[in-house]
Amino acid sequence: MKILERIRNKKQRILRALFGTFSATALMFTFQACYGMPPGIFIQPRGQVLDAETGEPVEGLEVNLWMTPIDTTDHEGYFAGQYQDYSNIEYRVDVIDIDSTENGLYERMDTMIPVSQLQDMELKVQRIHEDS
Amino acid sequence: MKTPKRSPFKRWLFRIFRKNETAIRELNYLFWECTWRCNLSCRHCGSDCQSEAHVPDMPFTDFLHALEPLEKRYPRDTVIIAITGGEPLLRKDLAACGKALREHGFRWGIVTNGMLYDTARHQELIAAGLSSVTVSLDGLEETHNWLRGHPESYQRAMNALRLIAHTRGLSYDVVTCVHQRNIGELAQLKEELLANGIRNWRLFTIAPIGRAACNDTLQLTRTQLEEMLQFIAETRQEGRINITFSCEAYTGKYEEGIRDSYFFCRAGINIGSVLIDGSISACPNINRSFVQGNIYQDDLMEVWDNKFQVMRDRAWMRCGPCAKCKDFTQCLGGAMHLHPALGQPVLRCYKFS
Repeated sequence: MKILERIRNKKQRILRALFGTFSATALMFTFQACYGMPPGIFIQPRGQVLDAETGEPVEGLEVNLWMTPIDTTDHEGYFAGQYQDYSNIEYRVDVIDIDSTENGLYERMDTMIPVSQLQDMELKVQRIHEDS
Repeated sequence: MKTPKRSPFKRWLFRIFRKNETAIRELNYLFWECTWRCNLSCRHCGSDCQSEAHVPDMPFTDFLHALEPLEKRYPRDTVIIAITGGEPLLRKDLAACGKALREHGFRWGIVTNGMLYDTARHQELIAAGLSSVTVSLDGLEETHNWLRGHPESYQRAMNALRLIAHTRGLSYDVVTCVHQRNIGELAQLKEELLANGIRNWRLFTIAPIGRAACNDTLQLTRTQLEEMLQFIAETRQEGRINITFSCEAYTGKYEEGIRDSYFFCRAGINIGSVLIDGSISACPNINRSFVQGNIYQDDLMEVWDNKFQVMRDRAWMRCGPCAKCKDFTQCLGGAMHLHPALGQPVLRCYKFS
């Protein structure tokens, strides 16, 4: 019985994941009781950080939304995270070099990103050359 | 105005989604009816609250104790506690309750009339981790004050909204109960909200329950109901304000144009409540005959896992006007709070063909 229940649970979770993926929106899973307050929506910012001069991906930079750390870029410069907020049409994004010279030294960068572009950001950071 | 086109395929997909969510039945939205005291005496109150309630406020420690199994079951930040009443701001320990809820991994928010929501209270609640607020605003100043029975209620609600709307990261909305006296004011009210920087607006109608059951002038006529739905659909197309129709009923041909998703009453599927006397139910406005247990005798999660069948299998709602309705598979009998008791038909149908 327990095995059957486990299989059923797994099937339900897979179906839910499929809905989440193909609806391409969190809206189906965010709801509000008719007399309650909004639960807030987790937005999922993601993108890539590139070196402004070479166009190469940059690893080890911390990406922030409204000064809340979202993620640190991986070796291909990619980042992805979650943030609970739906009341803005623009978001401040800060990219901070937190590993000092380990993956090159980069200037701190801040910019405003429209909500429509939050899931496909391309951020360019300026390298600080040691000889400068 | 042309209504958005029905999408049978999307509706079919939605029904599969709803069935699956009903089977998973995650409790992630829990009301806490923390008090029955209220500082207003609104004509349409669904809870029939009093200024001096005959039921004492629930001690927070009792509620927190009831949450223990919930805390063990679900990851941090996945459950939100909707603190309601009565008027929750009448509880002096509200910020302390909220802070403790955050420490235990729950998000929390309040539904308020805004009367006591000033700058100091706002800062206190934000510091305690408040993540979401709903403020009621039921028309332009004169109408709102008439319905709420207080000459300053509009100004105070508006002050609260200005504070809330300009706080980054705080989810919020304004709810307006649409009735015969304010239906003609919606366009003006929209401009008022926009002028004050308020961008999230939810409309609902007044159900014939609680104090409103004895007041016919509060219920919209069928024509007015359609007028309201058209207003919502048109305003959504304009795109200047995030407006939705509350998830209180299936609306037939308007479904695609008035909300971000289809009607889905999640009472007992994702929504539960702990009521003032410890009763375990779904939304607080649901008839108390649907109570499923009590935190003073039962384990909250055991009740959630083993009861609530009446809300998860809604075949019993197929009676009265729903008996032969071809949209029943999409509507499932409307919202739980529109059923006065088990086996009784829905109080009102909102479907337009």
